[in-house]
Amino acid sequence: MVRVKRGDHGAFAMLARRHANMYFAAAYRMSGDSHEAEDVVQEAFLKLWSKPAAFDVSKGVKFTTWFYRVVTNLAIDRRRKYGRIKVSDDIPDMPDQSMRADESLQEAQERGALEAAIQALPDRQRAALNLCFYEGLSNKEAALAMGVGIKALESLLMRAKTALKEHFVREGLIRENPYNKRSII
Amino acid sequence: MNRDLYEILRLRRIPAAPEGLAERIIAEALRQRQAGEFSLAEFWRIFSDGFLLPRPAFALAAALLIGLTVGFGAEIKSLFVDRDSEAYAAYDAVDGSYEDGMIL
Repeated sequence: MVRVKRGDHGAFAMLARRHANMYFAAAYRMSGDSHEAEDVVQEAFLKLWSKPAAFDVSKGVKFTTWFYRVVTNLAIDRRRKYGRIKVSDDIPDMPDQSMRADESLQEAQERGALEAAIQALPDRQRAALNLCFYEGLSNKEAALAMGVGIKALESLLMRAKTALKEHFVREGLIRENPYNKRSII
Repeated sequence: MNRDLYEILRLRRIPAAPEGLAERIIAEALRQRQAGEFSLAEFWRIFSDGFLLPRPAFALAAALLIGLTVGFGAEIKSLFVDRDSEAYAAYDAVDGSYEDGMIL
């Protein structure tokens, strides 16, 4: 990043090649559409290139954590500006050969329902879920990426999971245990 | 079906990144300038990004409608109300301490 700040395009190219795909996945998890995710990632990297001073090396924050913040905020801003994009059908079907055909179809339908449910979550809950559960960030890193405290992050996570669980119970994908109100494992 | 939430969350799949994504980003960055050099297009992009309106067309149309409604609804008041100007003229005639036409 120090070299990028000096205008070293080669250093920027190295960063882009190393991280573009990873942040495409992060952007896709926020937007639910691959074209939108591509636009978000491109815009985030170009913002980095045009304003590299936005990343302050002296603050001790990792570049990857900081860039998650850029990508997440950009995805949210674009959604607010352009409206929510219908969940695309480009989720690849990867049928498990050992499963019966009808089971694979069911899994594909469940994946579609899952993606739609996640995209319906409020932005900050979706961001917390994506960063912690799917991107594998620690709570501390995710809180930094979102610019919130750890308690606030945990609250967002809990609300996201509760909302999803209630949704899936209603859809019949999860059966709630009537005795202890916990979903059956 | 016996499933827990985490099992369902793990079903999520992400499509592969488009081919050549990084290269397109790199090529686009080469075409753009870094901060410090003035670019009218960049200025306009940053300026317009500062106005993130939900449904911008509707928001601007609503603002125009409200502005027109308020504008046409406002009364046009003259600087001198007839009654006030008569009172002023009367005072001037009686007291004589003001010059004709002077407003204090």
